[in-house]
Amino acid sequence: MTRLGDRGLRILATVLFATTLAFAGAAVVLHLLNDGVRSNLEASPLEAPVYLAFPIVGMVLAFRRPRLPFGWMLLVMGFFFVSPLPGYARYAAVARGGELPAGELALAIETPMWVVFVGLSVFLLLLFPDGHLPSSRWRWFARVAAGGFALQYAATLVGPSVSADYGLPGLGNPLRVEGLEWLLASFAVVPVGVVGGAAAMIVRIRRARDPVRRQQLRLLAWSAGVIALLYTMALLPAAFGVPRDSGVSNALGIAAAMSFTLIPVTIGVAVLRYRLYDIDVVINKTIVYGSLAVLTTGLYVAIVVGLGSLIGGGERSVGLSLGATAMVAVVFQPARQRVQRFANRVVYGDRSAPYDVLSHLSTRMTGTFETDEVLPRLARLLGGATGATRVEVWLRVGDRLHLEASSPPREPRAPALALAAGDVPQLPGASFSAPVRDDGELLGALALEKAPGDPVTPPERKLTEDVARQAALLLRNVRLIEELRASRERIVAAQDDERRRLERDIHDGAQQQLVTLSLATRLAQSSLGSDAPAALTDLLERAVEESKQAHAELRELARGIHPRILTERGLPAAIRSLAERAPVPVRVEAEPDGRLPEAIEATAYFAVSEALQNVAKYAEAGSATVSVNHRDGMLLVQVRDDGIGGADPSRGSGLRGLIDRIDAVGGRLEVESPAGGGTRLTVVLPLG
Amino acid sequence: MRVALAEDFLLLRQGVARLLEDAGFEVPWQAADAEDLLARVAADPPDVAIVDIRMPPSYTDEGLRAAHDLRETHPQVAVLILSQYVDTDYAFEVLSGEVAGRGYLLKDRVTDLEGFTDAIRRVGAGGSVVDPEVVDALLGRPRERSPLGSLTDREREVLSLMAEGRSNAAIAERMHLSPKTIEAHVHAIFGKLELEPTPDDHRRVLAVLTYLRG
Repeated sequence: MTRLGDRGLRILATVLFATTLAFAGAAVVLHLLNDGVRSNLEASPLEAPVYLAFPIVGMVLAFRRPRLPFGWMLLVMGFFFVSPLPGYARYAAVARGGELPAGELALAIETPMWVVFVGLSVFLLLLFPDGHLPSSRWRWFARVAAGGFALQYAATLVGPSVSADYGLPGLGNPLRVEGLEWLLASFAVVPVGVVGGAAAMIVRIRRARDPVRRQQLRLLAWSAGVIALLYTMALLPAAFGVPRDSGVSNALGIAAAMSFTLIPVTIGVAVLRYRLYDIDVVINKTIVYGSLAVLTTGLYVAIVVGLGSLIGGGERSVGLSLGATAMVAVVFQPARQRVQRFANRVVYGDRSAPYDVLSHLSTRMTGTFETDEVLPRLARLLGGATGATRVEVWLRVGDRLHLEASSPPREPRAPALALAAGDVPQLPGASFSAPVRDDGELLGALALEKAPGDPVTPPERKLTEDVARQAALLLRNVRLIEELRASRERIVAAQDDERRRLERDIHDGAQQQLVTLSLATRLAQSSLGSDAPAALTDLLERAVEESKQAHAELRELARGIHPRILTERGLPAAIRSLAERAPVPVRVEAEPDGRLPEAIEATAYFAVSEALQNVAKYAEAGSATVSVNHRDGMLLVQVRDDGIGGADPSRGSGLRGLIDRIDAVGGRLEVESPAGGGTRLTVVLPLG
Repeated sequence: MRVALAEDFLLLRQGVARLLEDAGFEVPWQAADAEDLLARVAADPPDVAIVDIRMPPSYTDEGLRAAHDLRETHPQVAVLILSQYVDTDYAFEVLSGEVAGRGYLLKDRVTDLEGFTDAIRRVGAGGSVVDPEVVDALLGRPRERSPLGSLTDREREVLSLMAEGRSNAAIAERMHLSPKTIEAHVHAIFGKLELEPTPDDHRRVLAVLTYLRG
């Protein structure tokens, strides 16, 4: 195989495909020559087009990836369904009474074909999707299976004639070799092989990290499961003694046989939908879509005919069976449409119903959820509808565009882009972009990026522009919220700055002066000498005490305005000083991790301060614990007490102010306070 | 004893210098910022340097850093930090590393003539000093069921004096008891609090403070 060039392989694939079609044609001709008589083991011409899925997908794969075995395997498996050999055998035996040569030979060659088919199916499971075994440990299994199938093939080939199963009793096997019937026991390779193939699939699925790869594998695994199930069901009637050519057996047998087409179909879906082998999508769409149409029609016809004959009762009144067929047809028409739509969906995903995306958008946008989720959701929906590999939502802030959301999400964030003359500039990497405007004002833009070879079609453009129109209000809201948050942050920061200045002025000014005053008074007192009137010394003593008192009060006042220790020594030290002043025992568990942004430290400090004040005022607690941890880029502050609980966050203005501060830095506050069970206040603040 | 001053608030500095001279100390020089302080210590090292915790240029922790620097360059110079913060964090910062010859006083301690001069002498003699108000705040904290509650009044007093950095001899003198008695009390206290007894009574101040901080 490797000695032939790619071109040679392609020619080979075309030849095989043409041969398959020729065989199919021959099978139809022979079927007609046989007056439509055939056994259960042969496909009817109505079913045959369905089985063309094998050579069609096989050829596509052989063309595009000639070095992978799967295309070739599917091409060969296709022969199995269109084989004209049994038709020829019947024609030779019945119509021409044994005149034509090799009738029995034809049947003898046909008989073991199923072994090749099943064997190739098993190896398909073992080798999918990369053409290698899951690991070198599987080599012995592959060898044993191959050997088993080879043995079974040989044994069937030279084994006793089964022409009776083909409805041609009395034909012998010209290739018969006596005494090797025991080799037929190698039939065991079939269940063993199937189980092994399934195990290989499972191993691969569990090993696969890439979700797309998992999807590709799961599809095939699912179809293998369906086939196995239908086959088991097809064998059941025989187990219950129902004759092999009864209507039920017939229908189940047909269903089981047809289920094999799931194999090429799922491989085709994997190619198209999940970009298996990166096969160029454009050309194949037509081919596979065509096959899909054939498949659905074929299935529909097969079911109708099968069930029709089941109800109609075979040879009896033609009119009755026709009527039954018509009834079934009517019943199944809507089902056929659904199957068609389902097939579309499976292959193309959301792209089959792009405008459903718009209605999804409207429904979801009216639901209440975090502002942070809205834009990523929009991007995801649009991506699914257009098949884009990336969708970006840009928001205009001032005279720049900021990347607000993208699907899939992108780290790190892209830098802001300047507008080009007041309009959307060229967005890097975008295959198509649509500006979002409201009343003439530019609010932002939506950008699509698609894989090369997958152009943005006019309907997809139109869809993006329609979504852009809907998104205008959304973007306006998001921008308002962002601006609000920014302005709150500024206000809080300005307030904090003022307080810091005030505290410093008091500390460095008034406090110093008070100490100096006390000292001067003390010095005056001590210079009076021992003969000074007691009244005077006492007066000065009181003066010193008063100014010391004033100093202490001023100190506490200044600390209430702004805790200098927070700025100078950081959060853990400041929290410890809060704990030292609390009227209940407070344990502090703080992980020091260097300094944090000012706003964050201040918010955390005031949260603890407020919480401890509440503990002192309401909780009637025996003790409290304050913990400060860093987790996943967030600062976690918790204040727990063992008091009476029942705290109501809506009461108390102190908590209101704290919530505003927490909001301003983009954090979150939670209060758990079951009655009688203590209170826990949790504050989560983002870091950087 | 030669006691120098580093303080930027003029009136306060002058007042303290006067107080020191009245108390019999020699004040060789005064400095108004950290740079000046270090230069003068190098030129004319005193026995004790009284240093404001915050000075120009940044008015944050110049005093603390100067104390650390002086540990390297002039280990024989004792440093007494004056601060307006009762928070124990600062006291720990001053006493970190070697506790000998280091002290932390609140600024308004200067009006307590006896306490202030006593602190200067103790730190000049190589001891450690923690302002009694800081210790009081620590001791007065509400605590969950703690062995502190099992101390007798006398033991409590001894504990608080230990936390101020005093040696056994100093405690004995202050409480008018014999040093042997004090030793016994100390032993009992360490036992009740389940603390490791420290080899000398100078270093234990940090252990006691750490215990009290919790």
